[in-house]
Amino acid sequence: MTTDELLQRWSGGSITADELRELTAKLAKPEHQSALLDDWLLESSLPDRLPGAAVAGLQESAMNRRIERIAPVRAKQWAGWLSWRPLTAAAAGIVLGIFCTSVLFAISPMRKAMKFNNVLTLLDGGFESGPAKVPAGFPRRTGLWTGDDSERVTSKTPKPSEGSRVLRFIKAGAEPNEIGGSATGCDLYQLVDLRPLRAQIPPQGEAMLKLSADFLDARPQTGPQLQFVCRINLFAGSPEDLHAIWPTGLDENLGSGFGELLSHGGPGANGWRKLAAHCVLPAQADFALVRIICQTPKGSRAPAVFGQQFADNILLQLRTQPLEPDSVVAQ
Amino acid sequence: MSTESHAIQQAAAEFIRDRHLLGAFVTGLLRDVHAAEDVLQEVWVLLAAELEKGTGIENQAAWCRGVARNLIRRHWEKRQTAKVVADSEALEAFTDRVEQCFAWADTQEHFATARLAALDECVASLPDRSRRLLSLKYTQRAAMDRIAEETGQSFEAVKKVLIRLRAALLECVRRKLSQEEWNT
Repeated sequence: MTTDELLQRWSGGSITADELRELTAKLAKPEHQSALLDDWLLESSLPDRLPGAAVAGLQESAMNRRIERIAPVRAKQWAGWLSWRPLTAAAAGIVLGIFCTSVLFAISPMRKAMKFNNVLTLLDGGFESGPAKVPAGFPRRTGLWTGDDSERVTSKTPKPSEGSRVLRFIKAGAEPNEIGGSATGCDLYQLVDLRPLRAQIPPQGEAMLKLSADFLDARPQTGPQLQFVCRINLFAGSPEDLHAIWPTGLDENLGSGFGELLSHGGPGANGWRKLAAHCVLPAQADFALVRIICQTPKGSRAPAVFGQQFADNILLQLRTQPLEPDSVVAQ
Repeated sequence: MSTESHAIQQAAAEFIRDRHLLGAFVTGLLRDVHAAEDVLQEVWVLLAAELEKGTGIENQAAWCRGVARNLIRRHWEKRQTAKVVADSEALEAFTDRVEQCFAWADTQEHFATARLAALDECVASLPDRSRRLLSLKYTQRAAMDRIAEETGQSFEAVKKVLIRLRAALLECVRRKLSQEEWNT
């Protein structure tokens, strides 16, 4: 097999261990090294060098302008601009997450403890109030759960994580504004106004948002793999305007955090499982979009119909850290 | 400006300069562009945190690759999806070799920029229809069946065309680079 063929099998996820060893051996030679570098550079760069990228404002010049606008004050406040690439499909079911969370936890000790502030105004995080049926579509104002086919149910079995009601994911829906898009995930959205929080952030300090959610896969028997995701994205501007440009508006997000877990249901599902996502809060952020998702994994052929999957106890918290180490100690 | 801010500014400039190669390293290994974006972001956060602590980083590109590799490993362990993950020894050896490839690329002047300039020319020379097809896949990240629907072709036909187009672009880039080498 040629190097290009082996690389293609690697990219397609179909390479065998023997083929991987063959590819590794070939890569000892400079000409094969170049083949890998050319191939991977093309794959990762192509999205930014095609006509659609210009339309979405994703070309390098746009990114660089964005970087230049941001003052180099504190390193972690810069994290947001590194989300320069479109995360459009992320809503439809993308990966990653759990290690994202671990990484940020790993940072925390070396950056000294952050102070936990009050829980934010994430309305009805326990799904205790509001109509049974969750309104369809993307939210047009803050403090309201909307999304794909899902409902609040009073439940004894399964026992809610907190309170007496839980959210039941029913069916996947296509992304709002995307005609003909694939429906792999049941998404719930809530917009949260962050502007009132600014007073809580110490001058020159840092702030981080933590989104946590409890998920339950109550299928009695093991079934196709599903993903639970909690995601937070931060934006500047008016929360009422995001619905009109969703999901392409994700390109403008100032920062994001993401947690995910996989489940096959059945006896090994282990009851309620907590997920968390963390996101540095840049000074420019005006509002957050919180998303709670149950979806089939990317590439899955299983039908995206749910009904035995639940969410509860969604919390959004602000953590702050003053700049001065003395202040941290005083806390 | 504080020393810390200055170090971070310098690191940011270097990070941006090197992002194409780091992006290729991460995307190539992960084979998932969204996961790769998040890894890149995490690498930056960790780099900035190290600089804030005052850690001196001699070879930033290599440091970032090392951190990215750990994050990727954790991702693989968590997901357990790639068939080859089962053979961790083969995977480690492959990743080692990949890292060597990128370390070699670091030593080549204008390695990424020359290829990207060539790629721009190659993309520009494609017929509109081909560019549109590539945009659907790479920019809009549309599923193959949706591309087939939009273009009125069968799933298999679209798959083949995209493979051919990608191979043609790669060939075009290589040809342009070798011409350039010949000219200089």
